[in-house]
Amino acid sequence: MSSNQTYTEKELLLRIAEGDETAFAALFNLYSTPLALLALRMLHSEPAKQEVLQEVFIKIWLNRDRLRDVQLPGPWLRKITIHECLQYLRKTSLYNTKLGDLHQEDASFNHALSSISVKEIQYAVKRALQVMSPQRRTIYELSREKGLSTKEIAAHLGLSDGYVRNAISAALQTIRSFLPDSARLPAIIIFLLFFRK
Amino acid sequence: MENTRIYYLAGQYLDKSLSDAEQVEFQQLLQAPDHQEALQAVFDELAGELDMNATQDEALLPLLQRALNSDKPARRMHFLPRRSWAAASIILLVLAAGAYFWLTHKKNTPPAAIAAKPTDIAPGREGAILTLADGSRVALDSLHNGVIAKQNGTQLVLANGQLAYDPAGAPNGEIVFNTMSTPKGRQFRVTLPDGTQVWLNAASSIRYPTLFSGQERKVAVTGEAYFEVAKNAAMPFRVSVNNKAEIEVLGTHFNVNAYENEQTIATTLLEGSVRVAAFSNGRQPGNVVLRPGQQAQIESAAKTGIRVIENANTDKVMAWKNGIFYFDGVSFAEIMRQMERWYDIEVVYEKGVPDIAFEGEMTKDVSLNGLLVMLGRTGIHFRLEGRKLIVQ
Repeated sequence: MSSNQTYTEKELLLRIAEGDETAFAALFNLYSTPLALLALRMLHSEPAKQEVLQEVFIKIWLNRDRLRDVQLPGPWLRKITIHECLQYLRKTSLYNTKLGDLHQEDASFNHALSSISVKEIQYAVKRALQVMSPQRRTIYELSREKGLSTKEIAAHLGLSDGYVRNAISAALQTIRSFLPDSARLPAIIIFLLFFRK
Repeated sequence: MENTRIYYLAGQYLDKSLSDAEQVEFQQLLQAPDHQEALQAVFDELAGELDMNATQDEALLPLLQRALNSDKPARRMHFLPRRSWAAASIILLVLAAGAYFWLTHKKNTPPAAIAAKPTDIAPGREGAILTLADGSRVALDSLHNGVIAKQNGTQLVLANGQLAYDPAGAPNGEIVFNTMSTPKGRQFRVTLPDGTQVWLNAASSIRYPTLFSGQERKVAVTGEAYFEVAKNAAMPFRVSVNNKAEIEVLGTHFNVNAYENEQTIATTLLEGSVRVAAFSNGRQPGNVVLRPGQQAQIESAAKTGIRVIENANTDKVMAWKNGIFYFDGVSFAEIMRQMERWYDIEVVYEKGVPDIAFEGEMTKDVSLNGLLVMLGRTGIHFRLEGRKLIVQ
Protein backbone atom coordinates (compact mmCIF):
# COMPACT_ATOMS: atom_id res chain seq x y z
CA MET A 1 0.00 0.00 0.00
CA SER A 2 1.51 3.34 -0.99
CA SER A 3 1.82 6.03 1.63
CA ASN A 4 -0.43 8.22 -0.47
CA GLN A 5 -3.24 5.68 -0.33
CA THR A 6 -2.75 5.22 3.39
CA TYR A 7 -3.09 8.92 3.88
CA THR A 8 -6.34 8.90 1.90
CA GLU A 9 -7.72 6.00 3.91
CA LYS A 10 -6.86 7.75 7.15
CA GLU A 11 -8.79 10.76 5.87
CA LEU A 12 -11.68 8.48 5.00
CA LEU A 13 -11.80 7.23 8.59
CA LEU A 14 -11.81 10.78 9.93
CA ARG A 15 -14.67 11.73 7.64
CA ILE A 16 -16.65 8.64 8.70
CA ALA A 17 -16.02 9.61 12.32
CA GLU A 18 -17.73 12.91 11.44
CA GLY A 19 -20.78 10.99 10.22
CA ASP A 20 -20.05 11.39 6.49
CA GLU A 21 -22.16 8.75 4.69
CA THR A 22 -20.32 9.04 1.37
CA ALA A 23 -17.01 8.35 3.13
CA PHE A 24 -18.56 5.27 4.71
CA ALA A 25 -19.82 4.17 1.28
CA ALA A 26 -16.29 4.61 -0.09
CA LEU A 27 -14.85 2.44 2.68
CA PHE A 28 -17.58 -0.11 2.01
CA ASN A 29 -16.85 -0.19 -1.73
CA LEU A 30 -13.17 -0.62 -1.03
CA TYR A 31 -13.38 -3.39 1.55
CA SER A 32 -16.75 -5.19 1.42
CA THR A 33 -15.76 -7.65 -1.33
CA PRO A 34 -12.33 -8.59 0.09
CA LEU A 35 -13.87 -8.99 3.56
CA ALA A 36 -16.72 -11.06 2.10
CA LEU A 37 -14.20 -13.44 0.52
CA LEU A 38 -12.43 -13.74 3.85
CA ALA A 39 -15.73 -14.40 5.64
CA LEU A 40 -16.72 -17.05 3.09
CA ARG A 41 -13.36 -18.78 3.59
CA MET A 42 -14.04 -18.86 7.32
CA LEU A 43 -17.74 -19.73 7.31
CA HIS A 44 -18.14 -22.01 4.26
CA SER A 45 -21.64 -20.59 3.77
CA GLU A 46 -23.06 -17.76 1.63
CA PRO A 47 -25.95 -16.75 3.93
CA ALA A 48 -23.65 -16.82 6.97
CA LYS A 49 -21.16 -14.65 5.07
CA GLN A 50 -23.85 -12.06 4.31
CA GLU A 51 -25.04 -12.05 7.90
CA VAL A 52 -21.58 -11.60 9.39
CA LEU A 53 -20.62 -8.89 6.92
CA GLN A 54 -23.82 -7.01 7.71
CA GLU A 55 -22.90 -7.12 11.39
CA VAL A 56 -19.36 -5.96 10.73
CA PHE A 57 -20.46 -2.87 8.82
CA ILE A 58 -23.33 -2.03 11.19
CA LYS A 59 -20.95 -2.23 14.14
CA ILE A 60 -18.36 -0.05 12.43
CA TRP A 61 -21.02 2.52 11.63
CA LEU A 62 -22.42 2.51 15.16
CA ASN A 63 -18.88 2.94 16.52
CA ARG A 64 -17.86 5.55 13.96
CA ASP A 65 -16.96 8.14 16.59
CA ARG A 66 -14.12 5.84 17.65
CA LEU A 67 -12.58 5.53 14.19
CA ARG A 68 -10.33 8.54 14.76
CA ASP A 69 -8.01 6.22 16.68
CA VAL A 70 -7.61 3.70 13.86
CA GLN A 71 -4.54 4.17 11.68
CA LEU A 72 -4.86 1.50 8.97
CA PRO A 73 -8.38 0.37 8.13
CA GLY A 74 -7.33 -2.81 6.24
CA PRO A 75 -5.73 -4.85 9.05
CA TRP A 76 -8.31 -3.56 11.52
CA LEU A 77 -11.29 -4.54 9.35
CA ARG A 78 -9.69 -7.92 8.74
CA LYS A 79 -9.36 -8.50 12.51
CA ILE A 80 -12.95 -7.46 13.19
CA THR A 81 -14.24 -9.73 10.42
CA ILE A 82 -12.27 -12.71 11.73
CA HIS A 83 -13.56 -11.98 15.22
CA GLU A 84 -17.19 -11.79 14.03
CA CYS A 85 -16.77 -15.00 12.01
CA LEU A 86 -15.49 -16.80 15.10
CA GLN A 87 -18.42 -15.43 17.11
CA TYR A 88 -20.77 -16.74 14.46
CA LEU A 89 -19.14 -20.18 14.39
CA ARG A 90 -19.25 -20.28 18.16
CA LYS A 91 -22.96 -19.43 18.28
CA THR A 92 -23.81 -21.97 15.57
CA SER A 93 -21.79 -24.60 17.37
CA LEU A 94 -23.47 -23.88 20.70
CA TYR A 95 -26.90 -23.97 19.13
CA ASN A 96 -26.22 -27.22 17.33
CA THR A 97 -24.94 -28.81 20.54
CA LYS A 98 -28.12 -27.81 22.34
CA LEU A 99 -30.25 -29.15 19.52
CA GLY A 100 -28.28 -32.38 19.59
CA ASP A 101 -29.28 -32.78 23.21
CA LEU A 102 -32.90 -32.56 22.17
CA HIS A 103 -32.35 -35.28 19.56
CA GLN A 104 -33.20 -32.93 16.76
CA GLU A 105 -32.77 -34.17 13.23
CA ASP A 106 -30.90 -32.20 10.68
CA ALA A 107 -29.87 -29.56 13.16
CA SER A 108 -27.79 -27.67 10.65
CA PHE A 109 -30.98 -26.36 9.09
CA ASN A 110 -31.98 -24.66 12.28
CA HIS A 111 -30.20 -21.50 13.09
CA ALA A 112 -31.69 -19.58 15.93
CA LEU A 113 -28.83 -17.14 15.84
CA SER A 114 -31.19 -14.19 15.70
CA SER A 115 -28.43 -11.81 14.83
CA ILE A 116 -29.06 -8.17 15.51
CA SER A 117 -31.48 -6.63 13.02
CA VAL A 118 -31.69 -3.08 11.73
CA LYS A 119 -35.17 -2.91 13.24
CA GLU A 120 -33.82 -3.72 16.70
CA ILE A 121 -31.19 -1.02 16.34
CA GLN A 122 -33.77 1.51 15.20
CA TYR A 123 -35.82 0.63 18.24
CA ALA A 124 -32.75 1.19 20.45
CA VAL A 125 -32.19 4.55 18.72
CA LYS A 126 -35.76 5.53 19.48
CA ARG A 127 -35.47 4.63 23.15
CA ALA A 128 -32.06 6.29 23.46
CA LEU A 129 -33.43 9.51 21.94
CA GLN A 130 -36.17 9.54 24.57
CA VAL A 131 -33.68 9.70 27.42
CA MET A 132 -31.29 12.24 25.86
CA SER A 133 -31.29 15.90 26.78
CA PRO A 134 -33.26 17.97 24.23
CA GLN A 135 -30.11 19.66 22.92
CA ARG A 136 -28.24 16.39 22.41
CA ARG A 137 -31.30 14.94 20.69
CA THR A 138 -31.52 17.97 18.39
CA ILE A 139 -27.85 17.66 17.50
CA TYR A 140 -28.21 13.94 16.76
CA GLU A 141 -31.31 14.45 14.64
CA LEU A 142 -29.66 17.23 12.65
CA SER A 143 -26.76 14.86 12.01
CA ARG A 144 -28.74 11.74 11.09
CA GLU A 145 -32.08 12.99 9.83
CA LYS A 146 -30.99 16.14 8.06
CA GLY A 147 -27.53 14.82 7.21
CA LEU A 148 -25.76 17.97 8.40
CA SER A 149 -22.01 17.90 9.09
CA THR A 150 -20.52 18.70 12.48
CA LYS A 151 -19.53 22.16 11.25
CA GLU A 152 -22.98 22.91 9.85
CA ILE A 153 -24.66 21.86 13.08
CA ALA A 154 -22.21 23.96 15.10
CA ALA A 155 -22.91 27.00 12.94
CA HIS A 156 -26.66 26.39 13.00
CA LEU A 157 -26.85 26.13 16.79
CA GLY A 158 -24.08 28.62 17.62
CA LEU A 159 -21.92 25.99 19.31
CA SER A 160 -18.29 24.99 18.87
CA ASP A 161 -17.31 22.11 16.55
CA GLY A 162 -15.80 20.23 19.46
CA TYR A 163 -18.97 20.53 21.50
CA VAL A 164 -21.10 19.14 18.67
CA ARG A 165 -18.60 16.32 18.04
CA ASN A 166 -18.67 15.34 21.72
CA ALA A 167 -22.46 15.54 21.80
CA ILE A 168 -22.77 13.15 18.81
CA SER A 169 -20.24 10.82 20.35
CA ALA A 170 -22.19 10.86 23.64
CA ALA A 171 -25.42 10.26 21.70
CA LEU A 172 -23.88 7.23 19.99
CA GLN A 173 -22.65 6.00 23.36
CA THR A 174 -26.20 6.23 24.71
CA ILE A 175 -27.54 4.35 21.67
CA ARG A 176 -24.93 1.63 22.10
CA SER A 177 -25.91 1.25 25.74
CA PHE A 178 -29.47 0.43 24.59
CA LEU A 179 -28.33 -2.26 22.19
CA PRO A 180 -28.30 -5.93 23.14
CA ASP A 181 -24.80 -7.24 23.86
CA SER A 182 -24.69 -9.01 20.51
CA ALA A 183 -24.79 -5.68 18.67
CA ARG A 184 -21.85 -4.14 20.46
CA LEU A 185 -18.30 -4.09 19.27
CA PRO A 186 -16.63 -6.27 21.89
CA ALA A 187 -13.96 -4.95 24.21
CA ILE A 188 -11.25 -6.92 22.48
CA ILE A 189 -11.94 -5.09 19.22
CA ILE A 190 -11.94 -1.73 20.93
CA PHE A 191 -8.66 -2.84 22.40
CA LEU A 192 -7.39 -3.60 18.90
CA LEU A 193 -8.11 -0.02 17.96
CA PHE A 194 -5.33 1.16 20.18
CA PHE A 195 -2.84 -1.68 19.98
CA ARG A 196 -2.82 -2.28 16.28
CA LYS A 197 0.08 -3.80 14.47
CA MET B 1 -5.19 -27.44 24.43
CA GLU B 2 -1.79 -26.83 22.96
CA ASN B 3 -1.34 -24.07 20.44
CA THR B 4 0.02 -26.46 17.83
CA ARG B 5 -3.22 -28.46 18.08
CA ILE B 6 -5.35 -25.30 17.70
CA TYR B 7 -3.20 -24.36 14.73
CA TYR B 8 -3.70 -27.80 13.17
CA LEU B 9 -7.50 -27.88 13.72
CA ALA B 10 -7.96 -24.35 12.37
CA GLY B 11 -5.95 -25.27 9.27
CA GLN B 12 -7.98 -28.43 8.69
CA TYR B 13 -11.21 -26.46 9.20
CA LEU B 14 -10.24 -23.85 6.60
CA ASP B 15 -9.36 -26.65 4.16
CA LYS B 16 -12.70 -28.33 4.93
CA SER B 17 -10.80 -31.50 5.78
CA LEU B 18 -11.66 -32.07 9.45
CA SER B 19 -12.40 -35.72 10.25
CA ASP B 20 -15.57 -36.44 12.24
CA ALA B 21 -13.61 -36.72 15.47
CA GLU B 22 -11.68 -33.53 14.71
CA GLN B 23 -14.99 -31.81 13.91
CA VAL B 24 -16.17 -32.54 17.46
CA GLU B 25 -12.84 -31.35 18.84
CA PHE B 26 -13.06 -28.14 16.82
CA GLN B 27 -16.61 -27.47 18.07
CA GLN B 28 -15.39 -27.87 21.66
CA LEU B 29 -12.49 -25.56 20.94
CA LEU B 30 -14.88 -22.90 19.61
CA GLN B 31 -16.89 -23.06 22.80
CA ALA B 32 -13.97 -23.04 25.23
CA PRO B 33 -13.88 -19.52 26.69
CA ASP B 34 -10.15 -19.54 27.45
CA HIS B 35 -9.13 -20.30 23.85
CA GLN B 36 -10.88 -17.34 22.20
CA GLU B 37 -7.78 -15.18 21.99
CA ALA B 38 -5.67 -18.06 20.70
CA LEU B 39 -8.27 -18.79 18.02
CA GLN B 40 -8.32 -15.16 16.93
CA ALA B 41 -4.53 -15.16 16.68
CA VAL B 42 -4.38 -18.45 14.77
CA PHE B 43 -7.06 -17.46 12.25
CA ASP B 44 -5.37 -14.06 11.94
CA GLU B 45 -2.38 -15.95 10.70
CA LEU B 46 -4.12 -18.61 8.61
CA ALA B 47 -7.07 -16.78 7.04
CA GLY B 48 -5.01 -15.22 4.30
CA GLU B 49 -4.58 -11.63 3.18
CA LEU B 50 -7.43 -9.49 1.88
CA ASP B 51 -7.76 -9.77 -1.89
CA MET B 52 -7.97 -6.08 -2.75
CA ASN B 53 -8.28 -6.77 -6.50
CA ALA B 54 -11.39 -8.97 -6.32
CA THR B 55 -14.28 -8.05 -8.60
CA GLN B 56 -16.93 -6.08 -6.73
CA ASP B 57 -19.66 -8.32 -5.31
CA GLU B 58 -22.84 -6.42 -6.19
CA ALA B 59 -24.93 -8.66 -3.91
CA LEU B 60 -23.31 -6.91 -0.94
CA LEU B 61 -24.63 -3.42 -1.76
CA PRO B 62 -27.90 -3.69 0.21
CA LEU B 63 -25.78 -4.19 3.34
CA LEU B 64 -24.42 -0.65 2.98
CA GLN B 65 -27.88 0.92 2.92
CA ARG B 66 -29.01 -1.14 5.89
CA ALA B 67 -25.95 -0.14 7.90
CA LEU B 68 -26.46 3.56 7.11
CA ASN B 69 -30.15 3.40 7.98
CA SER B 70 -29.61 1.48 11.19
CA ASP B 71 -29.28 4.55 13.42
CA LYS B 72 -31.70 6.90 11.71
CA PRO B 73 -34.56 7.90 13.99
CA ALA B 74 -37.94 6.58 12.81
CA ARG B 75 -40.46 9.04 11.39
CA ARG B 76 -43.47 9.51 13.62
CA MET B 77 -46.96 8.43 12.68
CA HIS B 78 -49.77 10.13 14.48
CA PHE B 79 -50.19 8.30 17.72
CA LEU B 80 -53.63 7.30 18.92
CA PRO B 81 -54.14 6.29 22.53
CA ARG B 82 -55.34 2.72 22.81
CA ARG B 83 -58.73 3.54 24.25
CA SER B 84 -59.79 6.01 21.60
CA TRP B 85 -62.15 3.60 19.97
CA ALA B 86 -64.97 6.09 19.66
CA ALA B 87 -65.36 7.26 16.11
CA ALA B 88 -65.81 10.83 17.29
CA SER B 89 -62.39 11.06 18.86
CA ILE B 90 -60.80 9.58 15.76
CA ILE B 91 -62.48 12.03 13.46
CA LEU B 92 -61.28 14.77 15.78
CA LEU B 93 -57.72 13.52 15.63
CA VAL B 94 -57.83 13.17 11.88
CA LEU B 95 -59.15 16.73 11.62
CA ALA B 96 -56.52 17.93 14.03
CA ALA B 97 -53.84 16.18 12.01
CA GLY B 98 -55.19 17.77 8.84
CA ALA B 99 -55.33 21.19 10.43
CA TYR B 100 -51.83 20.77 11.80
CA PHE B 101 -50.57 19.85 8.39
CA TRP B 102 -52.39 22.77 6.80
CA LEU B 103 -51.04 25.29 9.28
CA THR B 104 -47.45 24.07 9.35
CA HIS B 105 -46.98 23.14 5.69
CA LYS B 106 -49.02 25.85 3.99
CA LYS B 107 -46.16 26.80 1.72
CA ASN B 108 -45.44 23.25 0.64
CA THR B 109 -47.63 21.40 -1.81
CA PRO B 110 -50.46 19.74 0.06
CA PRO B 111 -50.55 15.97 -0.30
CA ALA B 112 -52.30 15.04 -3.52
CA ALA B 113 -54.50 12.49 -1.81
CA ILE B 114 -56.34 15.09 0.25
CA ALA B 115 -56.64 17.72 -2.40
CA ALA B 116 -57.60 15.53 -5.31
CA LYS B 117 -59.76 12.86 -3.72
CA PRO B 118 -63.19 13.67 -2.34
CA THR B 119 -64.11 9.96 -2.18
CA ASP B 120 -63.06 7.82 0.72
CA ILE B 121 -62.57 4.12 1.34
CA ALA B 122 -64.07 2.72 4.53
CA PRO B 123 -61.96 0.60 6.85
CA GLY B 124 -62.50 -3.13 7.11
CA ARG B 125 -65.02 -4.62 9.54
CA GLU B 126 -66.34 -7.88 10.97
CA GLY B 127 -67.43 -10.40 8.37
CA ALA B 128 -66.59 -13.68 6.68
CA ILE B 129 -67.77 -16.24 4.19
CA LEU B 130 -68.62 -19.68 5.49
CA THR B 131 -68.39 -22.58 3.05
CA LEU B 132 -70.47 -25.52 4.25
CA ALA B 133 -69.76 -29.17 3.63
CA ASP B 134 -72.08 -29.24 0.63
CA GLY B 135 -70.21 -26.34 -0.97
CA SER B 136 -72.89 -23.75 -0.27
CA ARG B 137 -71.60 -20.38 0.87
CA VAL B 138 -73.06 -18.11 3.54
CA ALA B 139 -71.99 -14.48 3.86
CA LEU B 140 -71.88 -13.95 7.59
CA ASP B 141 -71.80 -10.16 7.71
CA SER B 142 -75.27 -9.79 6.24
CA LEU B 143 -77.00 -12.11 8.70
CA HIS B 144 -78.66 -11.40 12.02
CA ASN B 145 -77.91 -13.19 15.27
CA GLY B 146 -79.35 -16.67 15.69
CA VAL B 147 -79.10 -20.16 14.22
CA ILE B 148 -77.98 -19.77 10.63
CA ALA B 149 -77.56 -23.36 9.49
CA LYS B 150 -77.75 -26.98 10.55
CA GLN B 151 -75.49 -29.73 9.32
CA ASN B 152 -75.48 -33.31 10.57
CA GLY B 153 -77.25 -32.26 13.73
CA THR B 154 -74.80 -29.49 14.59
CA GLN B 155 -76.28 -26.02 14.88
CA LEU B 156 -74.36 -22.99 13.68
CA VAL B 157 -75.12 -20.01 15.89
CA LEU B 158 -74.18 -16.46 14.93
CA ALA B 159 -73.96 -13.94 17.77
CA ASN B 160 -72.49 -10.44 17.64
CA GLY B 161 -70.03 -10.94 14.82
CA GLN B 162 -68.87 -14.40 15.83
CA LEU B 163 -69.88 -17.92 14.95
CA ALA B 164 -70.17 -20.86 17.32
CA TYR B 165 -70.92 -24.55 16.81
CA ASP B 166 -73.45 -26.20 19.06
CA PRO B 167 -73.19 -29.98 18.73
CA ALA B 168 -76.39 -30.42 20.79
CA GLY B 169 -78.15 -32.41 18.10
CA ALA B 170 -76.23 -35.65 18.86
CA PRO B 171 -74.26 -36.15 15.65
CA ASN B 172 -73.92 -39.66 14.35
CA GLY B 173 -73.15 -39.04 10.70
CA GLU B 174 -69.81 -38.71 9.01
CA ILE B 175 -67.42 -35.87 9.82
CA VAL B 176 -67.98 -32.89 7.57
CA PHE B 177 -65.67 -29.94 7.01
CA ASN B 178 -66.43 -26.24 6.94
CA THR B 179 -64.20 -23.46 5.69
CA MET B 180 -64.38 -19.98 7.12
CA SER B 181 -62.71 -17.38 4.97
CA THR B 182 -62.36 -13.64 5.23
CA PRO B 183 -61.92 -11.48 2.13
CA LYS B 184 -59.76 -8.35 2.21
CA GLY B 185 -61.34 -5.77 4.49
CA ARG B 186 -62.97 -8.29 6.87
CA GLN B 187 -61.92 -10.07 10.01
CA PHE B 188 -63.90 -12.59 12.00
CA ARG B 189 -63.99 -14.72 15.13
CA VAL B 190 -65.17 -18.31 15.25
CA THR B 191 -65.60 -20.74 18.13
CA LEU B 192 -64.80 -24.27 16.97
CA PRO B 193 -66.83 -27.30 18.15
CA ASP B 194 -64.26 -28.05 20.90
CA GLY B 195 -64.50 -24.53 22.33
CA THR B 196 -61.27 -23.33 20.70
CA GLN B 197 -61.52 -19.68 19.71
CA VAL B 198 -60.03 -18.49 16.46
CA TRP B 199 -59.65 -14.91 15.29
CA LEU B 200 -59.16 -14.64 11.53
CA ASN B 201 -57.39 -11.61 10.10
CA ALA B 202 -58.32 -10.23 6.67
CA ALA B 203 -57.65 -12.38 3.59
CA SER B 204 -57.36 -15.57 5.64
CA SER B 205 -59.11 -18.90 6.03
CA ILE B 206 -59.51 -21.87 8.32
CA ARG B 207 -60.79 -25.35 7.42
CA TYR B 208 -62.07 -27.51 10.26
CA PRO B 209 -64.44 -30.42 10.95
CA THR B 210 -67.81 -29.53 12.47
CA LEU B 211 -67.07 -32.13 15.12
CA PHE B 212 -63.68 -33.26 16.42
CA SER B 213 -63.32 -36.99 16.95
CA GLY B 214 -60.51 -39.53 17.01
CA GLN B 215 -56.94 -39.00 18.23
CA GLU B 216 -56.38 -35.38 17.26
CA ARG B 217 -58.03 -32.11 16.34
CA LYS B 218 -56.77 -31.04 12.94
CA VAL B 219 -57.37 -27.74 11.15
CA ALA B 220 -55.71 -25.93 8.24
CA VAL B 221 -55.13 -22.17 7.97
CA THR B 222 -53.96 -19.64 5.41
CA GLY B 223 -53.25 -15.96 6.01
CA GLU B 224 -53.17 -14.92 9.66
CA ALA B 225 -55.01 -16.30 12.66
CA TYR B 226 -54.84 -16.12 16.45
CA PHE B 227 -55.79 -19.24 18.41
CA GLU B 228 -56.93 -19.78 21.95
CA VAL B 229 -56.99 -23.56 21.96
CA ALA B 230 -59.29 -25.35 24.43
CA LYS B 231 -57.25 -27.67 26.64
CA ASN B 232 -57.55 -31.37 25.86
CA ALA B 233 -54.30 -33.26 26.36
CA ALA B 234 -55.88 -36.48 25.06
CA MET B 235 -56.55 -34.87 21.68
CA PRO B 236 -53.64 -32.75 20.48
CA PHE B 237 -54.62 -29.80 18.32
CA ARG B 238 -52.75 -29.60 15.00
CA VAL B 239 -52.65 -26.63 12.67
CA SER B 240 -51.45 -27.20 9.15
CA VAL B 241 -50.09 -24.00 7.58
CA ASN B 242 -49.96 -23.69 3.78
CA ASN B 243 -48.70 -27.30 3.70
CA LYS B 244 -45.32 -25.83 4.69
CA ALA B 245 -45.53 -26.03 8.45
CA GLU B 246 -47.46 -27.76 11.18
CA ILE B 247 -48.08 -26.54 14.70
CA GLU B 248 -48.85 -29.08 17.41
CA VAL B 249 -50.64 -27.78 20.47
CA LEU B 250 -51.85 -29.07 23.80
CA GLY B 251 -53.84 -26.04 24.95
CA THR B 252 -52.44 -22.62 24.42
CA HIS B 253 -52.58 -19.13 22.91
CA PHE B 254 -50.63 -18.40 19.75
CA ASN B 255 -50.70 -16.42 16.54
CA VAL B 256 -49.70 -17.66 13.12
CA ASN B 257 -48.97 -15.30 10.24
CA ALA B 258 -48.65 -17.17 6.95
CA TYR B 259 -49.64 -14.70 4.26
CA GLU B 260 -48.22 -15.86 0.96
CA ASN B 261 -46.80 -12.40 0.28
CA GLU B 262 -44.88 -12.19 3.57
CA GLN B 263 -41.40 -13.63 3.67
CA THR B 264 -41.88 -15.98 6.59
CA ILE B 265 -44.47 -18.10 8.28
CA ALA B 266 -44.28 -16.66 11.79
CA THR B 267 -45.72 -18.55 14.76
CA THR B 268 -45.73 -16.54 17.99
CA LEU B 269 -46.52 -18.18 21.30
CA LEU B 270 -48.25 -16.17 24.05
CA GLU B 271 -49.14 -18.93 26.51
CA GLY B 272 -48.47 -22.64 26.93
CA SER B 273 -46.32 -24.63 24.56
CA VAL B 274 -46.36 -25.56 20.89
CA ARG B 275 -44.13 -27.57 18.58
CA VAL B 276 -43.60 -26.04 15.16
CA ALA B 277 -42.47 -28.27 12.30
CA ALA B 278 -41.43 -27.10 8.86
CA PHE B 279 -42.17 -29.12 5.74
CA SER B 280 -40.46 -28.96 2.41
CA ASN B 281 -41.40 -31.37 -0.37
CA GLY B 282 -42.70 -33.85 2.15
CA ARG B 283 -39.44 -33.69 4.07
CA GLN B 284 -39.29 -32.24 7.55
CA PRO B 285 -36.13 -30.12 7.75
CA GLY B 286 -36.65 -29.28 11.39
CA ASN B 287 -38.92 -28.66 14.31
CA VAL B 288 -38.72 -26.59 17.48
CA VAL B 289 -40.63 -26.34 20.73
CA LEU B 290 -41.52 -22.74 21.57
CA ARG B 291 -41.67 -21.08 24.96
CA PRO B 292 -44.07 -18.17 25.59
CA GLY B 293 -42.70 -14.96 24.04
CA GLN B 294 -40.76 -16.81 21.35
CA GLN B 295 -41.50 -16.66 17.65
CA ALA B 296 -40.63 -19.36 15.11
CA GLN B 297 -40.00 -18.11 11.59
CA ILE B 298 -40.02 -20.41 8.59
CA GLU B 299 -38.81 -18.91 5.35
CA SER B 300 -41.41 -19.20 2.62
CA ALA B 301 -38.62 -20.32 0.32
CA ALA B 302 -38.34 -23.36 2.66
CA LYS B 303 -35.07 -25.30 2.94
CA THR B 304 -33.60 -22.84 5.42
CA GLY B 305 -35.31 -24.45 8.40
CA ILE B 306 -36.67 -22.66 11.44
CA ARG B 307 -35.35 -19.51 13.06
CA VAL B 308 -36.37 -18.82 16.64
CA ILE B 309 -36.67 -15.21 17.81
CA GLU B 310 -36.43 -14.70 21.56
CA ASN B 311 -38.62 -12.03 23.15
CA ALA B 312 -40.79 -11.47 20.10
CA ASN B 313 -42.72 -8.21 20.16
CA THR B 314 -46.13 -9.65 21.10
CA ASP B 315 -47.79 -6.20 21.10
CA LYS B 316 -46.89 -5.96 17.45
CA VAL B 317 -47.96 -9.52 16.65
CA MET B 318 -51.32 -9.16 18.41
CA ALA B 319 -52.08 -5.62 17.23
CA TRP B 320 -54.38 -6.78 14.42
CA LYS B 321 -56.58 -8.76 16.81
CA ASN B 322 -56.76 -5.78 19.17
CA GLY B 323 -57.96 -3.53 16.36
CA ILE B 324 -54.69 -1.66 15.95
CA PHE B 325 -52.08 -1.02 13.29
CA TYR B 326 -48.65 -1.20 14.86
CA PHE B 327 -45.86 0.68 13.14
CA ASP B 328 -42.76 0.43 15.38
CA GLY B 329 -40.06 -1.50 13.62
CA VAL B 330 -42.35 -2.53 10.75
CA SER B 331 -41.05 -1.92 7.25
CA PHE B 332 -42.91 0.44 4.93
CA ALA B 333 -43.65 -2.43 2.52
CA GLU B 334 -45.13 -4.56 5.30
CA ILE B 335 -47.33 -1.68 6.53
CA MET B 336 -48.58 -1.24 2.99
CA ARG B 337 -49.35 -4.96 2.66
CA GLN B 338 -51.45 -4.68 5.85
CA MET B 339 -53.26 -1.68 4.35
CA GLU B 340 -53.94 -3.63 1.16
CA ARG B 341 -55.64 -6.36 3.18
CA TRP B 342 -57.61 -4.06 5.45
CA TYR B 343 -58.77 -1.42 2.97
CA ASP B 344 -58.97 -3.82 0.00
CA ILE B 345 -56.69 -1.60 -2.03
CA GLU B 346 -53.65 -2.19 -4.20
CA VAL B 347 -50.46 -0.30 -3.46
CA VAL B 348 -48.23 0.62 -6.39
CA TYR B 349 -44.77 2.12 -6.07
CA GLU B 350 -43.74 4.57 -8.76
CA LYS B 351 -40.13 4.89 -7.65
CA GLY B 352 -39.50 1.78 -5.60
CA VAL B 353 -40.38 1.20 -1.95
CA PRO B 354 -39.34 4.15 0.26
CA ASP B 355 -36.79 2.97 2.78
CA ILE B 356 -38.21 4.64 5.88
CA ALA B 357 -39.43 3.56 9.26
CA PHE B 358 -42.40 4.75 11.31
CA GLU B 359 -43.32 4.59 14.92
CA GLY B 360 -46.61 4.76 16.79
CA GLU B 361 -49.88 2.97 16.30
CA MET B 362 -53.32 3.63 14.90
CA THR B 363 -56.74 2.13 15.43
CA LYS B 364 -58.02 0.11 12.49
CA ASP B 365 -61.42 1.83 12.32
CA VAL B 366 -60.01 4.90 10.58
CA SER B 367 -61.07 5.43 6.99
CA LEU B 368 -58.40 5.35 4.32
CA ASN B 369 -58.40 9.16 4.02
CA GLY B 370 -57.64 9.39 7.73
CA LEU B 371 -54.64 7.21 7.19
CA LEU B 372 -53.50 9.16 4.16
CA VAL B 373 -53.60 12.41 6.10
CA MET B 374 -51.23 10.93 8.64
CA LEU B 375 -48.98 9.43 6.01
CA GLY B 376 -48.90 12.80 4.26
CA ARG B 377 -47.61 14.43 7.42
CA THR B 378 -44.53 12.25 7.30
CA GLY B 379 -43.65 13.70 3.90
CA ILE B 380 -44.65 10.82 1.63
CA HIS B 381 -46.52 11.72 -1.52
CA PHE B 382 -49.16 9.53 -3.07
CA ARG B 383 -52.42 9.62 -4.96
CA LEU B 384 -55.48 7.43 -5.01
CA GLU B 385 -56.94 6.16 -8.30
CA GLY B 386 -60.00 4.04 -7.60
CA ARG B 387 -58.75 1.38 -5.21
CA LYS B 388 -55.17 1.83 -6.30
CA LEU B 389 -52.87 3.78 -3.97
CA ILE B 390 -49.89 5.09 -5.87
CA VAL B 391 -46.82 5.96 -3.79
CA GLN B 392 -44.88 8.67 -5.63
